[in-house]
Amino acid sequence: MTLKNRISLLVSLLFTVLFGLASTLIFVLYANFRKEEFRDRLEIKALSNIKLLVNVKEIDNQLLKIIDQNSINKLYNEKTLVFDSNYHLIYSSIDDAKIDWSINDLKYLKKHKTLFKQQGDYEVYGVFYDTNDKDFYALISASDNYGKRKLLYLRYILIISYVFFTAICWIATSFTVKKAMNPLGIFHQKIKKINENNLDTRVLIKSNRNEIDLIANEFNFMMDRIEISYQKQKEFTAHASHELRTPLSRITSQIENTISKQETDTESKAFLRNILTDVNQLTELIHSLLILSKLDNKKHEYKEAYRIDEILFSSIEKINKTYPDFVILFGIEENENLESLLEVRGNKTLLEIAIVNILKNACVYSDNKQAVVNIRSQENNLIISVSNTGTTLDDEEQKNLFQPFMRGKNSKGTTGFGLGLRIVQRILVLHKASISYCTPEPNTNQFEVTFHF
Amino acid sequence: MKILLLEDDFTLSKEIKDFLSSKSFECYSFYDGGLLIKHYVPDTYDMIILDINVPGKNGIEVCKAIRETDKKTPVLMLTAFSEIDDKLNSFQNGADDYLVKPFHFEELFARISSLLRRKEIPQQIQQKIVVRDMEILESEMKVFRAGEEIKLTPKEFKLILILANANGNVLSKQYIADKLWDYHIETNQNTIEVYINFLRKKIDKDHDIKLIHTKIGYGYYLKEEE
Repeated sequence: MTLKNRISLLVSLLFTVLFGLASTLIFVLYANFRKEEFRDRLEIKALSNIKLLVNVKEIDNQLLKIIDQNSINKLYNEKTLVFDSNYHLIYSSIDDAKIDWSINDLKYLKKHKTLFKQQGDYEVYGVFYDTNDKDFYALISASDNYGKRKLLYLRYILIISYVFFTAICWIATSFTVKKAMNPLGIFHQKIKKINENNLDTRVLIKSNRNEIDLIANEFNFMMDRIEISYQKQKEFTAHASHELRTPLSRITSQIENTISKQETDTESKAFLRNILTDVNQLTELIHSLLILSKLDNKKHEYKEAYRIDEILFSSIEKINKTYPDFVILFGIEENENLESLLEVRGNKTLLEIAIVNILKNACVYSDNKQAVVNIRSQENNLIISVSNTGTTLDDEEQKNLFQPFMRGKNSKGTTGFGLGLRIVQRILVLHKASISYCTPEPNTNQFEVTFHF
Repeated sequence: MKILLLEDDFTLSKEIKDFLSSKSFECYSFYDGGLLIKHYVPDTYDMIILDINVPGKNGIEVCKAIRETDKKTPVLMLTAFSEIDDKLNSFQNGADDYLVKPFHFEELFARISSLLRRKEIPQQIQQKIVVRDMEILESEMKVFRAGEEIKLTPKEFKLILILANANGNVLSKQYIADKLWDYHIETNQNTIEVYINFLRKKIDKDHDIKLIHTKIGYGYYLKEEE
């Protein structure tokens, strides 16, 4: 579960429980308050009946009944019973309501002075009234319809508000937490996309100075340090490659001059030619490393468009300077939108390096110094396929084909460092293109470069 | 032939000098850019070779200073920097060619010879081929139709030139293929059709009178009217 969901769930649950407890407490307290209040009213009524009956000589049973009937304080379904010290009923109000009573109730009353009990819908209150010469017991029962209606109304209010506000709380919490955690989501998305090509990515910091902003700030500092060290590493490769060029030129020129001298004997010339071959290889390696270090730059939005077939032709021209016997069987497939697909936005020099490398590969690994190059379009993609006959790669070699310094079993006896295809892939990625290898027929190596539009 | 060399590496400078001497050039070398500018006399040398990263003034500054007084002498830049920006910077400051270290003497010699040849060849007379309302400026590699320039790729330009040079005669697909690509590239006839179509779209599409015609079963020709 994500932190966002966990926080919103916890907050919502906590609110649900607390609000539920608070509502229950309010209801219970109010119910007790109603009961107390009603008991007080019953007590006042019972005492007033006894006092009227006992202390006021002018009032007899009949008069008290009339007073009871017309009293504005009359309780709902009220029934009053008054007993003398011998537990004889001396007064009973005229209502139809009944009070279940027993001698034990009156005895309990004598002992405890008051009594309060629930009897169905009715509440019964008893009071013991002690005059100087006689004891009286009064039982009064009534139904607190007003109080109960208020209690019911309160219950509805509490239930509805509980449901309503709990729902609001769940929605609001989810929304608020989502909003509060949104910068963290953006942060996560940005970090996920960081690779060696976009080390300049930084997270936007607001001035809230909350925990996310603090982390983002530290993250940006960390990215600064990573970018600087990455840059230094790249610059080192670039500078080292540059610096190696002059001593290499020195070696090459000295060897070439010594070879061309007449006084140099044949054996020494052969020896020097071997060294020159090694120097050439070293030069090639340095050149490749320099290209790779430069290719780590961020992706460019190339504005200039170039015809890829023209780049192919100039690449063929270049490769033929090194491999004059190499022949290309070139074909292009006619298609309605081929001409527009041939226009590729990019860096001409880099694309030429990529194509030269693919062609060089085809030449070096072909068994007949020939390669078939085809240009075709497929589903709005431009595909350049380069194939040659010769030893093919096994599955394991194919997996690592684009890894640096990877050389297949078929590379025995050929010069190279296994950087060519790595460079090709890096250049093509920069141009939103891809390269794949397959063996369409036995003993046929085929590379397909796809430019996606 | 006199060649002026600016190279701060003593060994390399000596080797280049030896090589150029073996090719019958008189080579004068400097190790400091500032000194070279101070002692430079315009139109004294047939060729100037400049390393970029040298003490005093760098090769590009030296080239710029030379070009203020000497526009003719070919300048070849020789440097360890191979970036396109470095090359462009050199060309913008008056260099004629660029050779990246390490290099082979054969290539250095080839480039020197090429630059010297270019210097000696007088400016070519503008050759214009006109077919109805289409004009082909060969040396500028430009094509105009009804006064408007048509942007062609180098291969398309070569193709229109091959057709135009045939003076309206029909050329077979094989002949065009042989002329269009050198012996290192072999193509099928369909490829020629594709390139003829590219050319038709650019040359004829927006015009009522078509200039590129097909002779079915044989080839193509360029003519004012059929």
